Amino acid sequence: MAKKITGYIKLQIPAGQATPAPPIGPALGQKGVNIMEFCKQYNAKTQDKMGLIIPVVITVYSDKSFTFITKTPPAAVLIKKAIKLEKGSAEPNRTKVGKISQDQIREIASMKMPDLNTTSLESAMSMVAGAAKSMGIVVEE
Amino acid sequence: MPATYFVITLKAQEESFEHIFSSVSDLEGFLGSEEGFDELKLSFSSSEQTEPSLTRWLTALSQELTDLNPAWEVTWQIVSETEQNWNAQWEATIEPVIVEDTFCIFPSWHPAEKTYPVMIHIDPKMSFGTGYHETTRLMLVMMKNADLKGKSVIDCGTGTAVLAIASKKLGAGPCIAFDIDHWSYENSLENLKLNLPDGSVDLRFGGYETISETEKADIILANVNRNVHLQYTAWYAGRLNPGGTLFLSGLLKYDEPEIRKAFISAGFTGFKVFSENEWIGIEVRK
Repeated sequence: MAKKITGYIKLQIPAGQATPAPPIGPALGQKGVNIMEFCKQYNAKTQDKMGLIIPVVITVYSDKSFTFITKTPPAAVLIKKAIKLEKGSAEPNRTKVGKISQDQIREIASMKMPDLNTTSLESAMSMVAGAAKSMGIVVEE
Repeated sequence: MPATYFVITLKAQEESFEHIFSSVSDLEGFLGSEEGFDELKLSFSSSEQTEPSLTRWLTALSQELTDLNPAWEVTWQIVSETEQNWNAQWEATIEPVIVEDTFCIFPSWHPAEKTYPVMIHIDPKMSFGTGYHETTRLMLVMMKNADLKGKSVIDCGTGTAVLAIASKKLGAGPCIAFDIDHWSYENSLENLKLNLPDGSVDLRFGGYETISETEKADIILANVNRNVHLQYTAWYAGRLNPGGTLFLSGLLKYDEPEIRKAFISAGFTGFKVFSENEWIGIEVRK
């Protein structure tokens, strides 16, 4: 018989850096989940992505066991990393802070595909380009 | 002194979260966030952030979001939180763990019903090493298959000190254990006292640097993770006596090729791989 799910916890944690400190400790601890085991598993599975913030959805079961899935980092984080941008524009329509190429957009879109509501790379690229524009980044043709 | 944290509860529209993550990801001391309905809880280490600087960042963020979309409103509250044993609720539920019919790891609040050859009394306090995880069990399996009698041991990242205690109970000689985490250090002190009141384990607070270049061992135990193993490959080679054995854990099956390549380059031989579910333990010789 399938185990009963008692809740979900949505966290965003730097890859390979999980510790029992907040937000992990209080969020998992109050549901009776073994924090140390989560940290061990999360760090082992994300240590290839050091430097990125990884969204993770933890499913907690009635016996206090858990499973989790990691998602791709937010597009804005990937865009900043791709073009080595420190921060987006405060006035994206007026002040442009950088440029991103179609190849970079494609690379980010490919990475984000599993988490987007589309199976078309073109649609995913269009979403990533939209995010870039909203940060004051010029999308090169 | 217990660590403290700043936790910001940020009320904002979900559509703006991506921009918030993008902005917060570069801030010093950012530990992560928890997402709720139109709410984010952002956590920071207070040793790397101050309340005034977080307030300045929030004020700028609020303006940025309003510029992007006038409908995006942000309100926030900053509270300071002191660390505590957040794992206590889970720890209260643990039961004795039997490994290979040899080791029995049990807490004070749930004694074992029968006696096993190696009884290990562990009262964990937000430290790793209760026997509940594959990586600890794999280490114990490898240790059981080795002859530890009279051998000198170094236990890297000792956690609850479960492996250091196991090694002594298997007859090991001098044992040094270290951990960089202060909860683990304090908890190791307590567990060592419960199991080895003679003080026969030299426990140190800190990382790999706590072992001097002249301190060598016949056995090194290291249940950490792949990146740490790769970073300290030369360290392991330098601290092992000739013919010594290194037990590595904290590894996933797909980590094996990279680990094998690095340790062969460092002169290690005799690879033995043990597995449980998706995790592996590796035994190598110098």
